[in-house]
Amino acid sequence: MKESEAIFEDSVIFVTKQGTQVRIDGGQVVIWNVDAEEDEDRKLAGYPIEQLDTINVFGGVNFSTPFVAKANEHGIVLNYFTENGKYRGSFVPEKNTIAEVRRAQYALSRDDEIAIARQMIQAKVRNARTLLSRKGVYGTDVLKDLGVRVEDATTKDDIRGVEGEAAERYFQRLDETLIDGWTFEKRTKRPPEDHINSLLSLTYVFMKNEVLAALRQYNLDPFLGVLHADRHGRPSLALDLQEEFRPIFCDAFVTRLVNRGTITHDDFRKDNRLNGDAFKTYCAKFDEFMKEELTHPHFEYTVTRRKAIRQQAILLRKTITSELDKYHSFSFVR
Amino acid sequence: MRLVIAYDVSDDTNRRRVYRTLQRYGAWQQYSVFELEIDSAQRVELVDELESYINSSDGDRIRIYRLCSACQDATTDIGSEPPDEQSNVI
Repeated sequence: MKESEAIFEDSVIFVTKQGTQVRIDGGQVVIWNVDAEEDEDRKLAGYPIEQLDTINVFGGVNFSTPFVAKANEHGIVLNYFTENGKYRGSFVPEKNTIAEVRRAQYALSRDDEIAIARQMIQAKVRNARTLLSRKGVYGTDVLKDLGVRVEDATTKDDIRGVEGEAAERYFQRLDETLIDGWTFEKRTKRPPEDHINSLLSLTYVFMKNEVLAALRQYNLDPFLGVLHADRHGRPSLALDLQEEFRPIFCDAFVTRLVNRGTITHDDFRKDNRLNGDAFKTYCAKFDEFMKEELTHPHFEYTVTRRKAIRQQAILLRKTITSELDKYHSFSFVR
Repeated sequence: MRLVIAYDVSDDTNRRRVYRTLQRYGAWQQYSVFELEIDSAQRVELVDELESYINSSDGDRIRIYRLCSACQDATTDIGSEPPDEQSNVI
């Protein structure tokens, strides 16, 4: 007899099991275990296709061609990563793009760009200070001063300069938020030199993809930024918007994983990447974190973190299309 | 919103179409019964599509129930264990 199915309430799925294929079966997206033994169930999971908007696959997982056609039809973004979370690329559905929004993006004046960028970086600096104080780290007045300096900045270089200084000051204190056994000495990337940097880098990659999904959903061109310089293949607008979320979402998430012992030093391989089981745990915890509700600092209603990012994409779009005269960034005072 | 949908469709082809449509939105529970967690916009789309597969003259009928939180909490399973929650991380 056929088994009943559980109600599925998510919209994003993560497939980390190697050797699997994502297929379409009737109205369901099915995760098929190609390497299954004779007695093993080949179907690992089934999801109603209308509920999905993003599928993330890691390493040796592929999509059947009929499935990709369906994903395109239903507007599902497919993100490809290496087995340990390095971003490789995306399949983005061929949806109608509203040219009007792109046209407004291209028409933004330098002053408008600077005004938006100022708000984003001010939020970042404010959120950095808030994260530190929430973790009991005080004496961060220098960050407060830098927040004021952003307000007075008149060029993008000025903004970048203040942001760089604030990041340096912030990372100097981040170590104090960590439990014994974990230290943060300096921010390193490409490749991360230690376990804490590895977790930060992975989280920034995941969060960038959340921001990209939000920008695409509201028809903004992620590659046309307001602060990050143009570079081939760089989603500058996504990196710009992500700045608001780096301390208060990304770093908060990493400190939580570490301080609660969810991830320990034993979970890392020699190259400082997470091992297989820990990586799967990481994906589950990240998704749970994004689905947690908080009170929006500006609108004062309850919202999930994932929705909060989409809300900022909406505000950004309204500012770019002149529906709003000022961009309201996402920042917590305490 | 949480919906329970029960259907009775006489023509084999139309019944398969109804099944396939519901499968795209929610979870099969037992013969001709699905449970869905969808939003208002999806509900409109779904009803529109289901209507196109129904022949009243054949005696076809679909009934949609909305379960509020209290109704969901008051729901009882008897017999076989209900399925485990489907994880979105594989």
